[in-house]
Amino acid sequence: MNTEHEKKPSRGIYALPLLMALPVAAGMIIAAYMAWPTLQKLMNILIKMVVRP
Amino acid sequence: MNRGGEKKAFPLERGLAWIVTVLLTLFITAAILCTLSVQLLTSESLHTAIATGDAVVNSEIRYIHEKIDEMAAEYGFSAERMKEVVGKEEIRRINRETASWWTALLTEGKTEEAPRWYSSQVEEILYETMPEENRKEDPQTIASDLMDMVERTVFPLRETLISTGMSYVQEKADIVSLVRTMRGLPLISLMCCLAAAGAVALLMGREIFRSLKYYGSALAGAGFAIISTIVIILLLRPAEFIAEASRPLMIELETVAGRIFMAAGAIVAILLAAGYICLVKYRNRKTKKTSVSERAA
Repeated sequence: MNTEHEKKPSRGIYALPLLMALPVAAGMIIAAYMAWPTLQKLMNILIKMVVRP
Repeated sequence: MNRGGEKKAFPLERGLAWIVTVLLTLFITAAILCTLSVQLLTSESLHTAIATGDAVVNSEIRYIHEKIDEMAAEYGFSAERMKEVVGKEEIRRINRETASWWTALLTEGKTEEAPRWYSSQVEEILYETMPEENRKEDPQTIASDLMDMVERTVFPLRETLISTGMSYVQEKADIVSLVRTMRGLPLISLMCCLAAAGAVALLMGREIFRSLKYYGSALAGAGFAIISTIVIILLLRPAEFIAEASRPLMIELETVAGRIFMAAGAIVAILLAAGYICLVKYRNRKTKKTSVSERAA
């Protein structure tokens, strides 16, 4: 017979995916915050060059 | 206390398993985002389907017909006959040709001349329907302007500049091998996912069902990460610049974005479902085990 002593897992395990997504989302936000102004300028130049008025 | 035959994972193993799970989440997210980006940049079928789809063709037709009405009011030719020449099927055909030129340029670096639209009927209609005494402008000039407007609506980018730029890029880098590498990125991410999943299973030892907690967290976590990416992109509103620059281009990009977001939405739903199924299974299995141990006590 199995006599393992462990607590029933709480419903908190359903929040684990959010915890896993946190580093990825944080990375994205930091990258967007840091790179967006430069990217914005580049996009502006590129669009003005490439798009026909 | 561990009196049974099954061994509980050590805290170190658990810690490692969580680190690998964060990596697994990252790899799943990267694999999906890479697949979507590669599709967006290199899939000819996607570009053709969008360019020849009713949403794009109808909005282009509406725009072209508006312009024809304006030109007809200014120069006095028959707008109705002109609209028959620039019909839905004709626009669909030009869109198909432009989409295949565009994808050949992007994926194979083929810097051929962009497809141009020419119809002798345009000039014929102008000569026939514009009274000679009221002609403000030479019909040939009007025909050229009209055909230019149609081309600009169907492909609102400066194709000569793009071709020249691409030739320059080709001199510096091998586009074909670059595209091949880009196409391989989702596969590389997928292999990393498999390696991470295998590492979690190894860390869990004989108790494979414990891995469900980590797999479930990673799968649903990747779903949430993709949702956050989409939200960030939407908040940055990159489409604003394009809308200011060109309305026809905006219409095409909206359709592309719609398709990509729909595909991403479906993938997120699958990831969340798979992740939470794993977590529910894990919790049920664990609850059963605990009940057995409680009865035994």
